[in-house]
Amino acid sequence: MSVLRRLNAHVSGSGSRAMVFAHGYGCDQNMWRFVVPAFRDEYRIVTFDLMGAGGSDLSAYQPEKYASLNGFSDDLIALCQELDVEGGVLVGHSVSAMIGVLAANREPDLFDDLILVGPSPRYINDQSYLGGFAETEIAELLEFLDSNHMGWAGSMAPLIMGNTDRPELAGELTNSFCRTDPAILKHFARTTFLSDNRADLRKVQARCLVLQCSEDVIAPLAVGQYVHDAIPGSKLVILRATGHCPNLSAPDETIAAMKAFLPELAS
Amino acid sequence: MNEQASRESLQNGDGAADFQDLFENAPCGYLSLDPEGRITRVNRTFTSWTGHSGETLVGRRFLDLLSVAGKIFYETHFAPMLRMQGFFNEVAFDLRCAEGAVIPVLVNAVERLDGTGRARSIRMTILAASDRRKYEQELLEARRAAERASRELREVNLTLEARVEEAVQKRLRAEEALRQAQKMEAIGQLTGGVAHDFNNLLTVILGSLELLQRRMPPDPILKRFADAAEDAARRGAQVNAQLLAFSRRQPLQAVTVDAREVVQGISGLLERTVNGVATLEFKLPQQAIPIHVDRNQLEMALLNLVVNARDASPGGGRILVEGCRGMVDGSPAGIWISVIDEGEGMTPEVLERVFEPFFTTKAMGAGTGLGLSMVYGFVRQSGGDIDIVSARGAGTTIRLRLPDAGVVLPPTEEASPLVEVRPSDGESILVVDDDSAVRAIAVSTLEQLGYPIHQANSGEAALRLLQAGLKVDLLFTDVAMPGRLNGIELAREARRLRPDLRILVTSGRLPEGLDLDAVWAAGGKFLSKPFHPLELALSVQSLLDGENQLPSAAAPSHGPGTAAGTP
Repeated sequence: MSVLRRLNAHVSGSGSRAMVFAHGYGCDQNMWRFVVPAFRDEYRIVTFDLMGAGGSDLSAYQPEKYASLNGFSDDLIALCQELDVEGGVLVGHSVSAMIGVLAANREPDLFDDLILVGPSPRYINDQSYLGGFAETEIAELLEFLDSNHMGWAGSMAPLIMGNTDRPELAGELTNSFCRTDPAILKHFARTTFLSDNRADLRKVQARCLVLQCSEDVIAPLAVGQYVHDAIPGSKLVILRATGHCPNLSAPDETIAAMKAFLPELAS
Repeated sequence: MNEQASRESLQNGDGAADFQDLFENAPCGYLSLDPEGRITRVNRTFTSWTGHSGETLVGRRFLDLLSVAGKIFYETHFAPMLRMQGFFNEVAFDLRCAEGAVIPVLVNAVERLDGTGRARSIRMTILAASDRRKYEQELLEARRAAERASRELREVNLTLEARVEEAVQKRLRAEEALRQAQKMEAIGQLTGGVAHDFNNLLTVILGSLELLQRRMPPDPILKRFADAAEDAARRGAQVNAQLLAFSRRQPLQAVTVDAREVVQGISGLLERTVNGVATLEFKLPQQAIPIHVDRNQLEMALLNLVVNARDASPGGGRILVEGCRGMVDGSPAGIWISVIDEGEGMTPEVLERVFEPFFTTKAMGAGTGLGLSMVYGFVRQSGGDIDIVSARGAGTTIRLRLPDAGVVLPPTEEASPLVEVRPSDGESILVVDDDSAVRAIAVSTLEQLGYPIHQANSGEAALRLLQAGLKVDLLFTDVAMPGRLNGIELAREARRLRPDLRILVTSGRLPEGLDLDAVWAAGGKFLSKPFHPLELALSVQSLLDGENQLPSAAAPSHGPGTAAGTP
């Protein structure tokens, strides 16, 4: 199966420069739905689902490969190479901001510009580094996902227990976006929240915009500041939007910040 | 609006008050939030559940009421989903209450949009879910148990074949071992029986030859024939001795000796045997290793093993003879005597049959096939065991495990001086044997020495003579005889009648169930068949000279020694 099919990739837009959108933990490419239209006229838009999320081929999920973010960045590189992306824009949200950094460092020709939305190179506090979470809190999250999962898994999984013989019923009860397998959700949470990619930030050569929300519990202000300080020549924009997903809660402000950062396209 | 006022309004049929009551006192919590997730309005049901007052809640973010896991889920799933599809239902959260308690709830949320499609507010319905959560936990536990059971069943099924195979293999190995043991036992019975009869024949042949030579005219040609016949008969006796050793029926005279001394004593012979074909080495400990075995048989066993090691090492190499006190898991495990060579080794097929009598890999005429059989029988009869490790091209290690005497050895005794045969002082002897030819040889030998002789052909006949008051000084009897009384029983009865009677017991092999201790217990001394007339004469003489208290004279002392060297 081609990487496009495996990652449920979609290409749209009328521009020639590629703009690749990578979604974060917990969702799928639908989360870009309010942002993408603003760039469709000028860019070739690529959206896709991370392996294990949304419409990706769940049967291709290999726990060993995706135990580190490198597994996901390998997929991103393969996807971009398949689509002949060169000197493009990578828009990465949350964990995909770091996946994008890893891919850009490995293959510098892919992206000239990186837009990191709510990035965090490490979620767990480490001495003077403030990631936003104590080690015990992340352990509690993983423990929670392991033990009491019915409510959350049920809300995300296409099937719930007891209805395996009547999937149409499950479809009515659950949600239409961001479906995934509970076991994959757990594994991805482990990979995401235990990751530490601080050392990779210094190696970034592309132009880089850090979009930081106010009051983001997942990636607090101090983390955005850290990323900005670590990536040479990066630009930090602090949005008025609160929460972790400004692309959903404040698409206009997000789009404006992106456009202000991106160079004028020679048309 | 307070409780009193709202009741009054209701009574007045006030529609607004009706809705207010519905909102405040519904069986679920109601929350209104702004698009950023800050609480703008909250009903009384929610404040009473959580213990947070309305004033403290308004202006706070909903996710502030959640645990860390809840906050992460809210930001990564709940808020995006709500934004994308406009609603998000039946989400399980734990709410933190004012008193520090936690209540499980189910949250339904819906977005209210303004005219431009932007979120204006979020409405949340909060359902208490303690019972449901408990039920879910039970379901989850039941599902885990079911999964566990099914996994275990799958594993059982997967391993079933392997376990059946293993059990069958184990059974086959046990059956093979049993078959091998039964085969060795059967061969042992057969060889033992043949050797017994053969012994009687050899005794007659040797005795007759001896008597013949005395009466023969001094003709060198006749003498050469007679010598050749005697030599052949002696070699036949040696083969027979090995057969008896294998059948574990040879009369063993176990004594307590230092195994080092046995090995050292025979080392010269072993060196000559190896004869430069291989290098012979000895490895023995500093301390004595007291062993309780028949010394002659141990020497014979060592010789057989070294001969085999030499023949297996035509290209040279080392042959190591090693002795030590064995230890297994820190406990004494007998005396180990090993012969290790670096020779050709054996195939599994040869290994399987290596202890069988007459089984040999040597060229015709080069070996009898009785060497290892003798070693096997001797070790087993001594209460020991034998291990053999060998592989083609990897040499052979044979280890004998023999009984540890468990004592401190007294200094080596002086060899007893040779005794010369002297004529009878007139003591009389009763000779008992069911084989008339053997009996005739014994009678003839003893008569020549001047002893008056009486004869009997069975245990009962002999006992009748003694009961009838026959005066004899010594009873010379075979052990295995047909009839009610065997030689041991006869000796016991005779002792009872005549406590001063000297007793000499002879046998080519001991009947099953008997060992030499029975002979000692019956007060007898033992002479093994086939015997030379001279050996018979010496045994009789030593008994009559007073060395009769055999349990102390011939059986070794097992008592704790006080030898020099003991601290």
